[in-house]
Amino acid sequence: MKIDNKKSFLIFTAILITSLILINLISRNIFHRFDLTDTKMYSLSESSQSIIKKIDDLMTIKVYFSNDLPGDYANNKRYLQDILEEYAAYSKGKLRFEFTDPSSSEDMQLNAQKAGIQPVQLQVIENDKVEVRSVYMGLAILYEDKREIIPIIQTTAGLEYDITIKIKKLINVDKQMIAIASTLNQNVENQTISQILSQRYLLQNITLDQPIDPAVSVVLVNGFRDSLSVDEYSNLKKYIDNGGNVLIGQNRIFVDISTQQATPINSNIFSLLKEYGVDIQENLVVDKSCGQVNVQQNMGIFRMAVPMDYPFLPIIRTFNYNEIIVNGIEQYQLLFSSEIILDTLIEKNINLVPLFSTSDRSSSITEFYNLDPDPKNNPIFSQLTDPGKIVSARSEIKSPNTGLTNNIIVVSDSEFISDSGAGKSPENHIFILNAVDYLMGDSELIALRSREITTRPLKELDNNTKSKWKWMNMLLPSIFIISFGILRFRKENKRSDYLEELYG
Amino acid sequence: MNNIKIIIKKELKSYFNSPMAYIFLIVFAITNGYFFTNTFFLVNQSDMRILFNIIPLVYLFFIPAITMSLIAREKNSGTMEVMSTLPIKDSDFILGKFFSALLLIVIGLSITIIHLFTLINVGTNIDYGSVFTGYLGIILLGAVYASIGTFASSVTDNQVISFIISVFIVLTFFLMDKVIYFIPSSIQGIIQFLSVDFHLSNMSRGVIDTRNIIYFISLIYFFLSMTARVLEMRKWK
Repeated sequence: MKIDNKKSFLIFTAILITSLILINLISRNIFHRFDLTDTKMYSLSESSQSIIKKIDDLMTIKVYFSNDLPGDYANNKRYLQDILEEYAAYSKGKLRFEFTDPSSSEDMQLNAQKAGIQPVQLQVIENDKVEVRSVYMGLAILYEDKREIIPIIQTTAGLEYDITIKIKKLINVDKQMIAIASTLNQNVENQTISQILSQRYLLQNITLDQPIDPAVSVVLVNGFRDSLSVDEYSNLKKYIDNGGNVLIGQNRIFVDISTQQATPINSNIFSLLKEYGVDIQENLVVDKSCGQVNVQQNMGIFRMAVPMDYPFLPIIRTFNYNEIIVNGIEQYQLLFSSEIILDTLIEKNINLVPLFSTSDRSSSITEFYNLDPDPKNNPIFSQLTDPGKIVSARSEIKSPNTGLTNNIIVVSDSEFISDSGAGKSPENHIFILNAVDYLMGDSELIALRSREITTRPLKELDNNTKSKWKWMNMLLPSIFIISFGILRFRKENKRSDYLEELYG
Repeated sequence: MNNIKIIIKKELKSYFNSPMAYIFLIVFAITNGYFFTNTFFLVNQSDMRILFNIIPLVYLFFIPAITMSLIAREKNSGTMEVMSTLPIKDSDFILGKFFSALLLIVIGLSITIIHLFTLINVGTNIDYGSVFTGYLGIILLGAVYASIGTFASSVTDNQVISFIISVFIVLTFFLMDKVIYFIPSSIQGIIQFLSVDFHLSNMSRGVIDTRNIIYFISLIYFFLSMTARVLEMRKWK
């Protein structure tokens, strides 16, 4: 194009701008991101990406985070900003976020509190004094007329999981239903786990005397003490055979700790589980790795509560890390558990996988159950030499007709989701959430839950060394440039002297 | 290509034959060194992001300063007319000027290797991927600002005016995402996309996004094309 006047110049400029805008618009839709960080920290999971792509209206994330926070909290803020930029990058302009520091004005504090973000008290060291500061570390996600909040972000572990789950809930994509099932005779409190689950999924409480809605993706079952009625049994079996997923806590021995009585449970649930390869033994597992109980003991003239190891409360640290359900879990607390034997001769369409077992210093008790915590009165506690015993397993059932698979996850602890039992322990919640996500087919989300930033602190240095490094960083480059300049001027001077000599 | 090399060589020589390059480089190094070390031990993180956050600020004046004379000086001294008689294409002339400024920027950045050396010595668990992308990002940003500087230098024969125009354009691109909350939400997305900081932030943490690369290249191409058109104006009848 020949440009020789103002008009052609303007036409050229317009064409150039338009073509560059077009190229950039195309690149917005067809793009690739290369995460060169060593831990691929900024690669959003496929789950997160697919959920973000489903946002069809403007989503705003308002982050209320105080400035000048100490060490780890400041890193949390930076990671939060980084990860939100990743979300924004995949949203094609549908997701925006903004950071505000509510500490800077009362209006902002009011806004934060209106959004549901309350200040938290934090100990900080300022001017060599420990001070308590009121800080904000939360965010609110706004979408259409709905809002979800993460009130406190204290750690980066599982942050992507939390944000993705909140977004998923807001955009209402594939909202799946789960249910906590019980029989008419059962009276189990599951408030803690119900509250946690209902934040993520549509949760129902159902009784097994009615057929289970096939729309329910996962059924959580409290341990039974009696046999199921014919209807209850048939409803549960039908649900499983039709491809339903079940997470069940069931042990073989009922223990009444107040009377120190242990009685075997006679229930048809065991025959049902056996059909799927899971055989819960009539025994109680004891493990050296265990929780403690307080026992009244005479100490001279006093009677005092003394904490004692109680091997009937195994603390599980041996996980099958090939299984994503237990990925990242460090420990799990069980109460009066029974051993699980997996039936290796089961039909070919059933695949059995152990999830976790007791430590290699275990044993099991059958028939006569001495529950005394005092090792002097309970000789079995000094004979914990058996290898680990499986206490949780997954049975994967492949339908011969459709080829689809469903799962039953068994934990041999009847109290594992109840308020009075293991359901109150935060570590156990992670396992329960992982198991539910897995059963729902969201196994990738599980990996997000344990994902966190790698800490990269500087080496411990004394003030003198720091000072040396500071001065070196400030002065050495300038010294180098000046030396280079001097050398160059000398060389130039020599050259001009030489030329002067040569030509006079 | 040969012409471009000759122009680069000539420009770099003229930079280093005067005290100008040394003064700019020393100011660049001291400013970076001061702000880097002041916060590096405080933040206590083994990465270079502090440096990658400071350099764009230092660039705001450093690059207009080194590019202000690129073409304006030639115009002012009348050598542009001599250039017209030489068998050098306008594009070679512009690219030669642009790359010489970029090379000076890269020389300035190479001095910051001392900070990387410090990091290697006092840091733990260093993520070299993010260091690499961080440097790539600030080199690309330097190239964008150098193209703006080359353009600003072509529109006037006064170096001070060239410096002011250059600072103004560079500052506009830099401030775009800082004022995002004060503009209507309907155009926030566009303004954010136009801001250089928005595109740089990915790279300084270790992510290379093709959209960011295309954005930087588009800006460089735009300003260098405009420079060529401005130079062509002198041939208009």
